[in-house]
Amino acid sequence: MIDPSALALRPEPFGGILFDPLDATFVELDREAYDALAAFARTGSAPAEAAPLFDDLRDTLSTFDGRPLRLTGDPAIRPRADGLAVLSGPTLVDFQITDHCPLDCPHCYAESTPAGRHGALDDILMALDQIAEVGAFQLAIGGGEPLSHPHIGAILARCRALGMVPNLTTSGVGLTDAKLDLLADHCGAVGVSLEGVGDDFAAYRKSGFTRFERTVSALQDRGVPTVLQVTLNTDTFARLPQITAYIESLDGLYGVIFLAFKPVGRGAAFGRPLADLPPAQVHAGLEAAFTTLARRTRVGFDCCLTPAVAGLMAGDLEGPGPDESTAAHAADHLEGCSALRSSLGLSPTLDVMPCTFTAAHAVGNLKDRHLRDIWRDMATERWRHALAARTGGGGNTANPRCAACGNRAACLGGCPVMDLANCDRDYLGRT
Amino acid sequence: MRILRVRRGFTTNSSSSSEYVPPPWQQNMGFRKPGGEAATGQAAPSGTAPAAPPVATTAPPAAPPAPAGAPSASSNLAANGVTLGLVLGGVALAFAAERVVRKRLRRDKPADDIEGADD
Repeated sequence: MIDPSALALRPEPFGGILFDPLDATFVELDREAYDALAAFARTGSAPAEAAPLFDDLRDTLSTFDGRPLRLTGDPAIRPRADGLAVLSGPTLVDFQITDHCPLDCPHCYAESTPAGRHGALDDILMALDQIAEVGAFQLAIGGGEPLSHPHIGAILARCRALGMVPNLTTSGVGLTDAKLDLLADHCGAVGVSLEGVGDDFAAYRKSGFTRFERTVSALQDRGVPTVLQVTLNTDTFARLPQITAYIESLDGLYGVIFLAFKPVGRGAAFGRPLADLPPAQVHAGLEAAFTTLARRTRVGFDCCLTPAVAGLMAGDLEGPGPDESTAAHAADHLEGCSALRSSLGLSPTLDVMPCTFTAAHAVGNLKDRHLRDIWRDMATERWRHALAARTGGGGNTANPRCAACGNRAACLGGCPVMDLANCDRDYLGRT
Repeated sequence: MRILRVRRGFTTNSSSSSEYVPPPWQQNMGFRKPGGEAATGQAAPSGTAPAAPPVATTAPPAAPPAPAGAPSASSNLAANGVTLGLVLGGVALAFAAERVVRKRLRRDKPADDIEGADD
């Protein structure tokens, strides 16, 4: 059993990452800093030259002195020729622990149904062991409806026992007081999806808007950090001002995350991606939502939206703060597709996918091979090579508009499988 | 030996890089830059492998508690301050002692031999 407050330190090609599970702070360290901290973890002492680093860590983390520090991850890091930033293992695993969901919503990308099967507990526990062994820090647990899994308590507890933070997304169906306790005891944050307000919500989710509001209230009353997840397609984007105003009216949210709609599963017949809208329209809508909501809570986006956000980060958004160098922050906050670079998707039957939206591109199964091996093997590398080639790294299939873009190393040219969101340079060539 | 980048936030969705937008836009989120130095720069691209930690498994259960006893620039500064204080104190003491000696010498000298008596 690992102390759930222990800081985790793992090696990376650039040095290492120190992760604080109490608030999900990721501190990326250069090689010398990693080495000094790793030596400290092993021996309990550090060279005098490390004093400024330790003081910086005291300033950066909620608490540093006296915290247990554990070494994790895979030290066998191989250099890459294509320049693609690939971590030594996933930092996040998006784990669909069940295909069961009582709702059968019309847009469900996972195509979950009341007849869907739960992942076997033994399989899930084996997978969690492997995920911990490669040094992952967080899990995004979903389904299906993960709260319907009969062993959800054991699964969440096992994540914590292995030193990982489980986060979870729920519709709120089946959220009893006992399950609220589980979420409060184990989860870093819990996500609840919001595609509209009132009747617009009910058009997407059979759980209904009243249950949504009840779920958010229950989570917040119980002290569970609550994230609203807003999936943006052409339909929900048209209602973004209304959705934004509603979120703005809520107190105490942990954050709101905007997700690019993916035409996958039943969702393929239910909506169209943002890429079908003029880039300038998407740009303006995101800018309005981000700047409005950033006054109230954390505002984030998934990597699938990165091309659409790239323009905002390029410096043409007037931030409310004194630091006008949003372009400088772009390098910190823009991340292209994280699939098989720092994250992966996992099905209830333990298929390893680039993400949970790309089942057709599965690269292995944890019942056949350890995740450590799958992370390194040829199928995974083929995905990465294709990703690098899109923006000119080690291939001849680069999009010329990406190749000329200063954001290409961070943006990576959007989703490599689907056209989800365009950028202000129209890299998808829609005009 | 430095921090390259700091990111914060629990992730509930599939993308590990579901980033919360830049700190300048979110003044109330408690973001602090390490050591007053801008944590800029993307994660460095892959390069040579770092030194391998000898503990390559997940979490040694009895890992040493970290940072208690860790070196601190501020404590070094404090130590330096104490040393400086002792040195200055010594100088001041020597100066005072020299003044006492000089005063006694003046007292024991004839009046016409006192420094500056002709001024």
